[in-house]
Amino acid sequence: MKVRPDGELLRHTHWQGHLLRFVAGGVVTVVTGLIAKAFGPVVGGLFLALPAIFPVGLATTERLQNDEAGPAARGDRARRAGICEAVGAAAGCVGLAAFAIVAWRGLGRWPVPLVFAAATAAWALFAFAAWAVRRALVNLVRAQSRAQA
Amino acid sequence: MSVPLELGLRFLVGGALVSAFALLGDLFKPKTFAGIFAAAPSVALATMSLTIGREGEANTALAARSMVVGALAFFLYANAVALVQRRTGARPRTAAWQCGLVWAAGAVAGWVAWLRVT
Repeated sequence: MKVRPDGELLRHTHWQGHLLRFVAGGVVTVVTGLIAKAFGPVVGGLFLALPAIFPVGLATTERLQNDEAGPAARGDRARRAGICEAVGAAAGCVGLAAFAIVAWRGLGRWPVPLVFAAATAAWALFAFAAWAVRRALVNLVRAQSRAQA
Repeated sequence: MSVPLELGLRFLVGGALVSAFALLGDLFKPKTFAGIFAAAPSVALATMSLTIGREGEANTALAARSMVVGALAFFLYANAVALVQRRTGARPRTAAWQCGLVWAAGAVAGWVAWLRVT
């Protein structure tokens, strides 16, 4: 399947899901700041990549998929969507590490706005690259299995 | 800036950035690609941009170095969540909470091996 934006998908998410993610994002940002203040930047920095929003997103996806699935597919469809989201998030983590490395090496050397822009670009580039490499490997393994069968 | 005002600003900026990346994730197909946005640097961007003025660039760079470890722990965690769902048939939200210790263990291991000694 090709990567493409689909505005129709936005209609599937309920407003409660958006509100929940906004509140979770706000709370996590506040808590991360308080941890950094209390324990210093070395410990606080660990929490900049805390998977706190991820479970909220998974719960939203699960509810949405269960609502849309028929009684026979309830649970199974949500689980498949959950696995896909987790696999994608793993690729996003490669980007997250790239973001952190660019910010770590760039701050103090380059102007701050440039560092944040470069770090965000590095996140997008490396996350997409990790996702594309994983997909290519999965396709290769599937093709080999088909050839052997 | 007063403390309540600063906390309120953090809440708003963090919430807005997380929502913006989540909306982008909702927009894309296939689902594995959309999942990338579940590991977006939204909290990091909000926190760093709000603290850099007070804490300075050197301290923010230190936090970014620690974030490398956090991101690697998140990578282990995301793979564990996928694996637990696949192998045990656990519900997504159950797997997400069950695997929380994987992130904690990864973060502590990285802190002991790298951050504590440098």
